[in-house]
Amino acid sequence: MELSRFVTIGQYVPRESPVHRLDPRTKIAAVTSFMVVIFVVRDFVGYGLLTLFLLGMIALARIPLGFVLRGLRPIIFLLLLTVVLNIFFSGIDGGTVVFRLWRLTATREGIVRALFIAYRLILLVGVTSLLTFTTSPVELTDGIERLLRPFRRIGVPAHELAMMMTIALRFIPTLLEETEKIMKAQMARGAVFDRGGALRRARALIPVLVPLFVSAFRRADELALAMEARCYRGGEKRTRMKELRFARRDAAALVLTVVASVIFAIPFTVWQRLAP
Amino acid sequence: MTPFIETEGLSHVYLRGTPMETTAVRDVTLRIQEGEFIALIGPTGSGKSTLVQHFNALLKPTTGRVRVGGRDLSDPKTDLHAIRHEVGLLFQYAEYQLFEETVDRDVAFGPRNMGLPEAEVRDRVRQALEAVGLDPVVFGPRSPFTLSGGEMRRVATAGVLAMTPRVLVLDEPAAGLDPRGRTDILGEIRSLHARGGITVVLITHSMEEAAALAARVVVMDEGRIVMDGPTREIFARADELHAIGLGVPAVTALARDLRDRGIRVRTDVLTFEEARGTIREALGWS
Repeated sequence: MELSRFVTIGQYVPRESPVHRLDPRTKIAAVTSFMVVIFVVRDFVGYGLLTLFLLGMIALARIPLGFVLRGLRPIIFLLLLTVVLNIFFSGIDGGTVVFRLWRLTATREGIVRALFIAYRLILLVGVTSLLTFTTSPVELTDGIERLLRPFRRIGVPAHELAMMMTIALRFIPTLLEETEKIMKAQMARGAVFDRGGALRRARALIPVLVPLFVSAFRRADELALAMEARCYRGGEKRTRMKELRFARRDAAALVLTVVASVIFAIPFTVWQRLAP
Repeated sequence: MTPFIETEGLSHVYLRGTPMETTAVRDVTLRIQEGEFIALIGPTGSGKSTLVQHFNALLKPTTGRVRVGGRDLSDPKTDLHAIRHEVGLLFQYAEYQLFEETVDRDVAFGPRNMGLPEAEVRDRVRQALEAVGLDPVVFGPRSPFTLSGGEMRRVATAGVLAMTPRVLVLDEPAAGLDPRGRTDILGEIRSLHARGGITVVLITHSMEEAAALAARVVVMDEGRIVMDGPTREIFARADELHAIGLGVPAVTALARDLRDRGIRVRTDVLTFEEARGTIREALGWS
């Protein structure tokens, strides 16, 4: 039993790679830009180019493709639901009927749109997991804090938000590990988690949840104490050990991103018209 | 005599197929006879905890086999719940697994899961609490969360004992306890073994504990078993133990020091009494 096997979303994969070395702000900006492009693109050519670009980035970051695909596992159900709903309820009137099921009709246009939307979800997960795979939680929140700093004037507690995110991210693996350990300890005492109806399964979780909550509160308490012992008092006049530096490679990466985004976003038909 | 627990070429790889893949146990072949008292020692991260979790099928081997009481644990027909009733496993820092409203009900969790009749459950809870030195009348109705750390550890130990396992696997049962707590809990384990003929596998970082309790010591390093033999023979190999970051009991080290300085004492001593005996003899006091 290894819970962290199933939750690859949000995990950091430490590697030496050009993508890892980028400034987190660059990566956040690039991912945001690609997320917009994913919603703008409307043709197969655009999606093909996006896919190729994403695969290239994954290879450049030296992340195994299987590890990225594993991150899709939790959303398989969502994907299937999206496809089914879009095929039958796309709201496209007319169109070529492919098949009928009871009172529902599936049109060619509906199926195409459903596949588009599903693929959009896959790309979204791919792009965002590339960000978390290549950026450590600390770097990520540092980046977010810097990007939020201008909004402090209108009352956004940038540092506090970033610190809360860092702590939350930091404790995901710890709590997963803890859950696994408690589940094993209760299994050793004969607990069964995978048998019986919904009610019985829910009740079987009590011996796991109670110790988990107790230990989460204990950890929170200890962490607060440790932070206070080191004189933590929020973001005022705090200096950093690692300053974020915007390097030349970041500029290059941003230019590449913007150019690629524009190229991908312009429909293929427009390119054809431009061609002599 | 066929061993009660038997592993054959057992290896375990965590997170296989991911970038965080690590091999925790490598090619371990180990036989444990019924009634033995084994100390399992090794540096942190040497695979001890991973190995023992195979004894009650909480982990499945990546390669190799595990047999318990003649039953192959990778055989889908083997009833793993029955195995868990026979091989009791007490995790490290077990006090964090308590969850019930009263000590009684928490200790009863295991026996209830075994489907025992209520009267028998009550009997076992009482016996288990007595075995760990807690008065069932005083502690039974209390909430486990009002107890001290040492008392909570004892309740957790009772929770495993109440299942009356044939093999008791203890992962550092005395870690983090005060000296009194340590002596108490180890004394209880010793008397359990002496009384009931129960098989004990004790994971420990204390060479003194291993020397005082176990008849056989198994040493792990980097996932492999590097030494396995009678306690006295293992602790005679001090240099090898030092090389992997372990040591020998303080009295053994003392005897070796004396010997190095030319005092003719036995160096294979394990207990305080043995050390005193041989030192008196060497000095001509006996």
